[in-house]
Amino acid sequence: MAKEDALFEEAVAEFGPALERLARGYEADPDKRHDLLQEIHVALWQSFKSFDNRCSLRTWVYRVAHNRAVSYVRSIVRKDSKTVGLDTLKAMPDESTDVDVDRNRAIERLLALVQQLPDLDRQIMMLHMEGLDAVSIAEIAGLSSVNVGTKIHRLKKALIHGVRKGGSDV
Amino acid sequence: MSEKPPMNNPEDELAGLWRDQKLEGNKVALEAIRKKTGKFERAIRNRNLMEYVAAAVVVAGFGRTILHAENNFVRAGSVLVVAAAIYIVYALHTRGSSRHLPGDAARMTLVQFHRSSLERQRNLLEDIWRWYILPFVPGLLLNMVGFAVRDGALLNPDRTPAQARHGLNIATFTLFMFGFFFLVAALNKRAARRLQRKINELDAEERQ
Repeated sequence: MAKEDALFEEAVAEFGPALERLARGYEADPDKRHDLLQEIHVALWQSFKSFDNRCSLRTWVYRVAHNRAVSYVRSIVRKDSKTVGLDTLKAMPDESTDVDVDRNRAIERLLALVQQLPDLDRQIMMLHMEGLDAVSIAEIAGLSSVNVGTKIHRLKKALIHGVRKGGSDV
Repeated sequence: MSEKPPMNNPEDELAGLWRDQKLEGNKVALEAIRKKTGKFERAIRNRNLMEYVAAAVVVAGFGRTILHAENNFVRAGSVLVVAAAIYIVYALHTRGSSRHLPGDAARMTLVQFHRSSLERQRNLLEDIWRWYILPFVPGLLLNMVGFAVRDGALLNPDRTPAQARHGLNIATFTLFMFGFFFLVAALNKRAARRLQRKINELDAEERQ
């Protein structure tokens, strides 16, 4: 089996669900999301021809996937393309007095908020929610782990507030 | 008073929601990926082909004018426009595609990739005047002069008032045309400066 084939099979087995969630974080439309996920798979497979073990497979996969997704998003014309900064998220009024938020609506809300984050914030937050620690995220992103930790702390607070703000059931 | 249930640990809440998404979980087939790769590469080749076709249309159109030009100004102007079209195609070809190569996306960190993309966009916007507009200016200018000469508005000692007005119209049109080019270049420069600010912000992020 060719090197890129074997590595691709391994990557999909280990990171398949994470890649699908990654595509969801960039694209709300289901059809375009499917296209994006295919583009990510193609980019991964092509990239594995030059995989040289200089970094872990995980770092490689996430770099290719996120970089490809960002290119895709920038290449398509978006009618309502705008990003929401941290200050805007925090300023949103809290309409909910109930701590329990309907799970599916909360997931939708989280997804919508993530999709509106500026690119780098979105990438860091998605990697964090996939369970990567600040050091691993820093390696993928090319930032210091201190900077990553600070960003995650601020973004988490803002996203939690945003998720709880909208759509709670009594 | 009703008791509120205990708050979820915010540390886990987001990650839990994120990973609880219902996924399609479709199996990815290698053969489908190979086919898709071929399709993408064909799409890129077709896009390049469209650029060559556009240039060929310009060459054909102005090439015809060279053969049937009413005077040497129009002929010279058309030669320059054809040369500009050929030059732009050559420049596009040698400067390469604007897309990253597949391996780049893995060798670059996310910040490096962001910066590289922003720099490429910035350079394109800064260079658009020099690479895509300026080459056509001499030829178009000569064509305008040629039309004015053809219609008796220029280099005509027996010019009538009507011809003079026509010459003024040609001059006005030429001014508007170059004014439009200048506006396009200025707007692109402004967009390039905005991109430079984003690049500076990324640099600052990296230094933290």
